[in-house]
Amino acid sequence: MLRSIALWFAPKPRYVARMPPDFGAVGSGCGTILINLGLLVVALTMVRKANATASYVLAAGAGFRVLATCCVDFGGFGLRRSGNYELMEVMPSVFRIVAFLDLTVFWGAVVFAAVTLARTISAAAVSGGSRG
Amino acid sequence: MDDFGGVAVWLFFLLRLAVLFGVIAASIALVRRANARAGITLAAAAGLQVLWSCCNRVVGVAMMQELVDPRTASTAATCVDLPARIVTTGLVVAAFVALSRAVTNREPPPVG
Repeated sequence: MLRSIALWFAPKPRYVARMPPDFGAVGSGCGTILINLGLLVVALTMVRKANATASYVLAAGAGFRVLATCCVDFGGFGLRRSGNYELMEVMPSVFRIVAFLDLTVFWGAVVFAAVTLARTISAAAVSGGSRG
Repeated sequence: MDDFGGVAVWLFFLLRLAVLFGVIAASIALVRRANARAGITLAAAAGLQVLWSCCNRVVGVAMMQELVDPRTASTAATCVDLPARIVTTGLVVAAFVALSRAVTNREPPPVG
């Protein structure tokens, strides 16, 4: 009885075998975050002068990509260092889904913003042509 | 689930390609009419992403088949990864700068 209680409160065995750190993924993640912050700045400055809706949609797409990159690259780094094999079996699928969502949301935002700007240009050309 | 095998990996890969080819089609069909340079730049960015996805899949299959050392393949993928991401996003930025300039710097229409 006492032995079973002692075992219950004893520290659980932990996985200690950790994978080597993947600093390449972290560097890649940092670069991606920086370049997407650049896109965010361009969206909120240059593009906003042209069309506010396109600007906010593009900024949202870039922001989502920053968050997804943090999740996948830094999360993957932490997972490798954690040595938790139960999580290591599950998380690659989660990361794959997040990466696909990242791709879909980012490119969807880019296409929406580009088409909105293109329509603005076409509408201006048509109205200019009819006035001239 | 195996990290590099299985149906899910191929399904996500095909979905990725479908999304990216949709982006290329939209860029060429809708954006190029308004601004040729921006449309082609966007299409090039999406095309680069297609190439990058294909490269990643080839590396994954090669690792699964044990044709290459996993560490070497991982290093090579990382070396390609960051430049590809930077160039892709840079092309998107260039396209939007061109589109924004086309909107803001357009000449006022002649009146009368």
